[in-house]
Amino acid sequence: MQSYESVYRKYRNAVMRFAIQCVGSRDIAEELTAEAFLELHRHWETIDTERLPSWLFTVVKNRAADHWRRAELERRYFASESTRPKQAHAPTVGHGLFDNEALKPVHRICLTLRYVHELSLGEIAQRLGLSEVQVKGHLQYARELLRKQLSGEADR
Amino acid sequence: MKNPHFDAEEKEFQREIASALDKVRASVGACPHPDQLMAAAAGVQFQDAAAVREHSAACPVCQTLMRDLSSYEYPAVSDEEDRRIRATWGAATGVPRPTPGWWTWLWRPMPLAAAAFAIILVVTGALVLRQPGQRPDESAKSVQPSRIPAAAARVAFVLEKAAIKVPAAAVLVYRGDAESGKTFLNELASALEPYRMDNYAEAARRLDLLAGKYPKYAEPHYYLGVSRLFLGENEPALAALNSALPLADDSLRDDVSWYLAIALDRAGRSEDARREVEGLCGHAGEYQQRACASVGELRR
Repeated sequence: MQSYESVYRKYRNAVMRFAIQCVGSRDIAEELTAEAFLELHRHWETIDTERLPSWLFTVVKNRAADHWRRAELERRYFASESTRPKQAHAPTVGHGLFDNEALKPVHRICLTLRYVHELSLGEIAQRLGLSEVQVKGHLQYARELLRKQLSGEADR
Repeated sequence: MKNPHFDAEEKEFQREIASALDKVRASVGACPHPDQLMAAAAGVQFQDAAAVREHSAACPVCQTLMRDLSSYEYPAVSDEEDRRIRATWGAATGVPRPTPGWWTWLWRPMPLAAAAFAIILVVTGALVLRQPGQRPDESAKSVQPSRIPAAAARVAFVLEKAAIKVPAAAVLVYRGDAESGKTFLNELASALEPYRMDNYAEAARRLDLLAGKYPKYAEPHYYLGVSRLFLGENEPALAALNSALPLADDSLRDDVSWYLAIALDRAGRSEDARREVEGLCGHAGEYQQRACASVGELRR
């Protein structure tokens, strides 16, 4: 029989990662992770441990659905006051803009979030668990690389 | 849009990419917010989830972003986050975790005296209250509540992560018989990357696509089934493993059969699960020992 502590240590990172995927924000993901393990704590006497970690993922998924329901209500409320942010939809960019073998996924993520979805440096940093300085660095590197690519194409 | 502040260099960059941006703009509809995109991919139900999934299936920009974000190695839970998560249990349950080690109490005289007194009290009480002729295991039962249900007491029939095996197609590639198998292997390796990192939602998404693309290979169906099991999606897991079984060669058949038994059990088909496990128990193989032990557990 596994102890609660060992289960927590074993699955906390996987649950946190899944929670980030479900809600985006690391802060909210942390709350969801805490709630999932709190639920596990509450049901520890009766829990069928062979159902872990899927049981934890299901708790996170259900809590994430609640989160999105609340967010939708808030969005509607603000929309009714004509202050609905245009954030809901970003301009669509076709395939190929940020395609470059030298770019790592983190560069493409930063570029897309910044210049397609127009998120602030702080929002990108918070989402990726990086500092704003790091995000700025990734963007700078990626811009330079793409600049070279664009100027190379122009020279041809 | 948040209309974030763009500095002069960024504005210049935007001007530079403007024409390229215009060139590559495609009309697949407006992209949803990245958070919604990822939530829909993870299977979270929300109002626009179906529309988001429909969009992302057609939008290469969203697909790239989803792939990149899914493979992104988020920092592990930090010490600070860990403290806050643990504090949640403490606040809600009144049980502070982690408890300090017992050795920290040894040098504290008052708790030591209290503990010694409590032990004496318990031992004396047990001697006084113990019925003559009562068996020791019965007294243990009365002290320790039966907190583990039958299923939780299982030690053999449990879901553990399936090891990644060299696919049958790899053998053909090594022999030089199937050049096309190389492409499959590369794509399988990429799809298994999130599985390796315990990111089952993304693994399921990728393996689902791969299973559609290579319906005659067992591996995508098999690992898809295992990923779905970890996500608690029992019926889809069952479907994937049922697809994998007739395709699996000798090196993979027992693995598929084992996870199929788990999926059947979780889908409430315990009798079918037991039959599957009995089959594994009946012949020599990697799962024989566990399967034979599981037959008894499934009868409970």
